[in-house]
Amino acid sequence: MLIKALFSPSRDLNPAEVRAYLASHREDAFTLLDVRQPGEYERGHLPGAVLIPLPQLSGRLDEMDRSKPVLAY
Amino acid sequence: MRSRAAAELLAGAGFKEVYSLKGGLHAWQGLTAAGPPSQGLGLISGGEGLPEMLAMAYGLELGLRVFYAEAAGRADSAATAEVLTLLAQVEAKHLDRVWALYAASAPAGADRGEVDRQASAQMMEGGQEVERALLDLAPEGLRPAALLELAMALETQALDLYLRLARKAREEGARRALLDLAQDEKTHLQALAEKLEGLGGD
Repeated sequence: MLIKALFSPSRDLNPAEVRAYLASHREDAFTLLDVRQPGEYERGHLPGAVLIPLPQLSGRLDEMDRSKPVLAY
Repeated sequence: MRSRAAAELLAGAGFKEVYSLKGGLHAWQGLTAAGPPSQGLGLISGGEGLPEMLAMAYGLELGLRVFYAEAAGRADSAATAEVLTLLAQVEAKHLDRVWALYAASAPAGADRGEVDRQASAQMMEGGQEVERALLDLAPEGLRPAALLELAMALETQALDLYLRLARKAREEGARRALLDLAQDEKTHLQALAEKLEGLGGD
């Protein structure tokens, strides 16, 4: 657990931090990822978010550019 | 929490920089865009060049400008009319910018009058939604704050469409222009938010 945390960090951001990130980064510089179900996405998603439902995520990793940061919700 | 689980999965799979939204979208208090991932993209193959993409953007922006002009006509106070007129002017400038990009990329002899006509025809359907949105607002809804909020919701939808179009565009010139337009929308939204805040207690 500890080793995993050391070598594969991911950061939890609060809404204000996410807002700041979205405001300060160009859209093509990162991937905004929505991991909910299609119905949830349809009802409301962050502008420009890519939809890959969590159950499908592990099989669809190559759809994302690994060199870019990912902001997931 | 799915956000967290997704972030862990991505980090574990070797993605270098991964963030998650604490609390997921439930915790988000900002604006969101509605519709499925394919919304507005049905007629797009991705292979469209810059002119086609910009023609779509032009239609979208024209719709927004018409909305503001319509709403201004129904304003019940000078303050409201002022806000809406300002928005219509901002939108007109944006429209000019899209047109300039289109004219530079389109085959020679691009006729703005013709594009306006085509965009307006496509907008007839969208125009009914505008009517409905305005009627839904009712007299009390035509306060500046409510109109600014509606404007922000519409601009958020436009931002969403530009970003999804940009991702689908395969031609670099088209992609760049769409990302620039998306950035414009973000700036619009910021200005609208500040205006809304400036209204204070309305």
